[in-house]
Amino acid sequence: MAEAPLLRLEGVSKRFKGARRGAPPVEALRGVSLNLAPGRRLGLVGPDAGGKTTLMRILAGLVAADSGDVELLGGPADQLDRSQVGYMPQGGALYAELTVRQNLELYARLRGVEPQDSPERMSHLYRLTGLEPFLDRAVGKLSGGMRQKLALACAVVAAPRLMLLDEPSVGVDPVSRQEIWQLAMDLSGPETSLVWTTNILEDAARCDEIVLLHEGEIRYHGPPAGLAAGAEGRCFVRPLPDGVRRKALQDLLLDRGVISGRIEGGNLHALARQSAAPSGGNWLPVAARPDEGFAAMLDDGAALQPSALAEAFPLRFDQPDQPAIAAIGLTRRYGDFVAAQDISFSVRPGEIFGLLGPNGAGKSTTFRMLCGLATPSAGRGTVAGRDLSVAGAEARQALGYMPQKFSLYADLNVATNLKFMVGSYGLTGAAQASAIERVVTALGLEPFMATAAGLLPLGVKQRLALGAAVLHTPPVLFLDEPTSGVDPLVRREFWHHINAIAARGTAVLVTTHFMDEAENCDRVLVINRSQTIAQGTPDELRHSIPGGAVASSLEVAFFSLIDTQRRVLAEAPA
Amino acid sequence: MSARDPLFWRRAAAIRAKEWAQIWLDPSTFGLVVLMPLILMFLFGSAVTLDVHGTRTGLIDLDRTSASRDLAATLSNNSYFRIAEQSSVAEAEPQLRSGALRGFVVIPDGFERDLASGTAPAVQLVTDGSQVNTATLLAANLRGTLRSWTEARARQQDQAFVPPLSLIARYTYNPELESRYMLVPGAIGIVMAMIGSLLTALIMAREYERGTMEGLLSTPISIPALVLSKLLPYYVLGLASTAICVAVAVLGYGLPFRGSFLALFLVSSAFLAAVLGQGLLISAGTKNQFVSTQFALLSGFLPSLLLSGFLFEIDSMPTAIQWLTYIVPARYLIPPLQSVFLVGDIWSMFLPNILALMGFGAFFFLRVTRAIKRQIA
Amino acid sequence: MSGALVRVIAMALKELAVVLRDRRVMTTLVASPVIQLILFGLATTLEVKNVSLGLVNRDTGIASEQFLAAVGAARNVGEVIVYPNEAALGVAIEQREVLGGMILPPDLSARVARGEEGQIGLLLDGRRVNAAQIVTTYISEITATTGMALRPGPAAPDLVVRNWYNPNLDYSWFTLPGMIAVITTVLVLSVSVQAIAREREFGTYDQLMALPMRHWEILTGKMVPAFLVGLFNGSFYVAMVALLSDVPFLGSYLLIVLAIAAFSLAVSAIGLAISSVAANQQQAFLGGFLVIVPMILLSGYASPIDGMPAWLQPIAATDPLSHLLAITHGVFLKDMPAAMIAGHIWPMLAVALVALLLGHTLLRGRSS
Repeated sequence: MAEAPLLRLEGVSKRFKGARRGAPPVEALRGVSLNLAPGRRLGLVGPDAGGKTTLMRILAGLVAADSGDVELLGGPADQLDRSQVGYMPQGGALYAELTVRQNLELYARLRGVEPQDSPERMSHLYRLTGLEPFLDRAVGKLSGGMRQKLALACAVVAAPRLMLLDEPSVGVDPVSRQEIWQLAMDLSGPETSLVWTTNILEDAARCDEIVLLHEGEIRYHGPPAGLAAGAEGRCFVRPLPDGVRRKALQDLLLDRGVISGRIEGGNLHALARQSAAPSGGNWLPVAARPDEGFAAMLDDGAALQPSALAEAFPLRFDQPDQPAIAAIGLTRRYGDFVAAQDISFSVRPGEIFGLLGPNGAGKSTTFRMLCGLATPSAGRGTVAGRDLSVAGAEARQALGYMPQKFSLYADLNVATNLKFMVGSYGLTGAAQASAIERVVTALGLEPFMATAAGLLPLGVKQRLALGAAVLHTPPVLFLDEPTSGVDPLVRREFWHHINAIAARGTAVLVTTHFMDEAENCDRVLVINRSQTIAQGTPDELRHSIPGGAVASSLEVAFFSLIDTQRRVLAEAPA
Repeated sequence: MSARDPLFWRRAAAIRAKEWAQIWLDPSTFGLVVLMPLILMFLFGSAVTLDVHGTRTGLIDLDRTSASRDLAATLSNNSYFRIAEQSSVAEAEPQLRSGALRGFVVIPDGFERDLASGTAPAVQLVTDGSQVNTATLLAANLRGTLRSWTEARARQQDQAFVPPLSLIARYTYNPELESRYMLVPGAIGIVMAMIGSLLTALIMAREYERGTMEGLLSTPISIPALVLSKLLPYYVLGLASTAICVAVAVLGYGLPFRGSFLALFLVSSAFLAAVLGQGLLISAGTKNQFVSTQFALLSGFLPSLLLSGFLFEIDSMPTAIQWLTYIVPARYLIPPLQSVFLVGDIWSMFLPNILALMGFGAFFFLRVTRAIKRQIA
Repeated sequence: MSGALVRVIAMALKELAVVLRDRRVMTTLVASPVIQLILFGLATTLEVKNVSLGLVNRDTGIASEQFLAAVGAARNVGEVIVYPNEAALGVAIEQREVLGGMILPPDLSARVARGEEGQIGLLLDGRRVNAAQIVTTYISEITATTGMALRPGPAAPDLVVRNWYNPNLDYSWFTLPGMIAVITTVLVLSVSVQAIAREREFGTYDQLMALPMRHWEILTGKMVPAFLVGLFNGSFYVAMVALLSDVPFLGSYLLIVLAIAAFSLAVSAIGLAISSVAANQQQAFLGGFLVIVPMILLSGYASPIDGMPAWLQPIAATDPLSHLLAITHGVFLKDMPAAMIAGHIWPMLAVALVALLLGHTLLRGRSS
């Protein structure tokens, strides 16, 4: 390489002392060497606790390496010119109570851009982020996608030579994800280098090179295509009719020869451990995707076991026609603003029902009304036959709720969190102990029992949150973006549990931004701009797009439906 | 640092603007800045008083003669006491135990006879010793009342009677010896101590707790700029509270203000620098709001209240504790503050105190800039 | 066990874990109060000892001689510093070198000898009200006794003072039991006031509201740690003061523990009521502070309730701290009987009930 690298890491290691006294130190990075030339874009992927955030903090000059050489922008790390680095920490470090403008202007001035002196840069940023109409809105009231865009803008407002973005697209819908990537591209010049951490391989694949970090070591460094190559020849597909796919996927995942599987459109995909198709059925070979390469690389060789989490759920098929969850004309207004308009649907026992829609479309509002966290302005919701407005506590006893944002007690350890939750559901004595034991074993929480929940890696946090929601084996389960921010292997594990729990007769209501996950749902409802725009099985949705064609996947159908609504609204007389 | 960073002041201004916005959005800050001074001014101006009067006192008159009734009437008319007559010690005892009475007076049988015959009768006072200050003052007031009663009786019998010695007590700066003249300026010190150490104890810890510190530290702002700009808004709020207090003290409670505003401003500024630095150091050290507030209460508020000499005389404390008061910033505030109201500008006394306070401020400021590390986790 | 009880216990255990989770919290909850108790218990004395007084003496006769001998023998007066004139004395007072000074006029002894009234001047620093007041009583007593010795007058009643419960008026007998009550207040309130505000600030409130817990279960469970902190610390301080200091402990330990329990209940209920409306920890803490300070100042610890304006006295009677103070002094020094203690316990329980109902209403109002 002729050009001097912008970043140069040589044998960098970092260890942190254990969370408790006597605990072994955590080796966050082990001998990492990395070069990044100006103008290059690097996608940093890897499972949770693989060292991504530590590496980012070293690059931002916020963590000093224990050993090895770190050269940032051609100089030693402790003489880093911070005005040349735009670092976006995970979650963005925004002030929730301040407005969009106040946040952006704060970071602009800290990074040396005086908003008054460069109004065109500020308005350019507002236009690109689409935040122009919300300048005076408190950041806490923004949707997840807009918050991430603002955080990105705050980080790169001074057009730095190096952009460090830690998980900029976590919890963001596919449309906004595309927009955030575009935003980063628009804000970077030809010489700007970019490091982008993510668990979404699609995003990483847009970069020039990918680094896969696992257990503190670099396992792969090369072009995105090279990652998929690792799974080449091991990917297979087979078409399956509606209604049987989920069961087939469940069986597939229990196959020892299979690493992972997914449903896409009318097809079941499998990633095999060897270059042989899984047993049974007429499997056809298919090209590998980067995420399959990722999964193949991280495969630990162990097959999934039948979900122990689900086994404790009693079979609940005694009243199959009685809806377990019902929303009847649910409407929520905040002043003039309608957050959810006349939303109606019902979920039967054993059904997985997906609530899809972009950030800010009204999914969370609908969700909150059904959990009793918001009172409907009109309409009503029932859970397990109980009206939420009349029998709040009884209805809440019947549901398990996993919030979008991690909401367990960060400073308490895992064991204490679980004990609190199990007691809150009114379980006693032996029932308490066995419920905790079951969840801990099924979700592999044993090693973390004494760790403060706030210090857990994201994937473990999510597992803990899922575990906390199912301690009392409720007949109804509410999961609000359960897989946001976790790596593909944890996602696979999650859906394995969710499918198995639903198979016991539990009604599951789930929101997600991943359309390949939504393919697991029996039925989905698409909300946009506070209104229902489609409802049905994934197949029905694929067939319902305008123009008579059949969408190849739910993702394609989703984009098409949203686009159609946008056009209809644009044409409608004001 | 500022020499190396040409944008030092601009970056500091950005943080300052952010702090102001946050203060503006949280009503509790204004509660502290406006409501707290008013409440404290009221409590120290109207509720707390060191002038003991209206003390509930029992009276057992075993003599029941004109002399004893005359003494009883004199006591009843005296505002120091609220006299309730009892028939016997047995009746008064449970009331003293329950706290319904703070003492009782026994006029002995033969009181008038003894006075007439020239032997001194023994009037007995039993106090509730558990309330030490009340008991002390009750005895002193009763002794004074008995003396003036005796002199009045002597004058009735002999027009020419004069006592051999009398004491003419005068009180400089505070002729009526009103306790609010001492308490109200002290309360201003408490208000400043609270705004300084408590409010700032929260602000740095909150940045750490919410994770926004990582964002700030990744920007080019220097740590002294960060610390200075976080302090400044609270310094202004502290001054604003002081101004409210002074207005209430002078307009509401009629305190004189004999010094200059310049002196008040300098003394207050020096004190605020010390306590703001203290609060910020606590905050940066603990990184936890709950622990911070506990520390601020224990090391900021309570010493300012109890060890500053505002309520309790430092000279009367045990020697070891007297030494300890030298590290309580409020100790250097109270004398100048009381003087600027009641006496005037005594620069020879103000300057050493201001210097001491600025020393505290500089010490804390240096410690804070070291306590905040660029490195996180 | 009923479901409600299980939920309350689960909440209580979780809250305890939150409060006790880190060692610094343990330090602030256990170690530092002990230090404060001792430090402030010894420091807060309204007694005036060892004051320095100035003297401007223009009299050389027997009256000044006898008067100064009596002043020198008084145990409350420390150093007597001689100044040439009143102006010098004034400067010394201004600089706070002396609290005040005695001025003996040139004709003092002569007037006494002539049967006239000799006048002694006393000039005191009006900034230091309490000390000035007490020194006035000392000096006027000395003046009167010296006068009587110089020229006996008509028979005057002697005053015999007996201080029950604290014969030597030892100040620490007042402050140490009192500090127990004051420090318990600060601890209980600062723990309880965070309970709900913390959940709001850290975003765990939503999850809490989605659990099958009723509002009263949340409140009750959340009261437990503050209550226990109060009960444990209060009882511990009582034992410590009783065993280690020379303050006598005449009453029943059980009764005082009961009283501390009722008090902790009342104060933690007040704290939770504040916490129910606070949006974040800062608000909770500042709200708590707005309550702690009036509670302490109206309790009668800093100055007697008798001296407060008449309309304020009934308000002071609702202050749980004023009742706990009556009980700690009563039990330590007065062997207060159970019936009297009960008379102070029920107002605290009434406050607890009112605050709880208020907290419940506020919490329900905030969550819908």
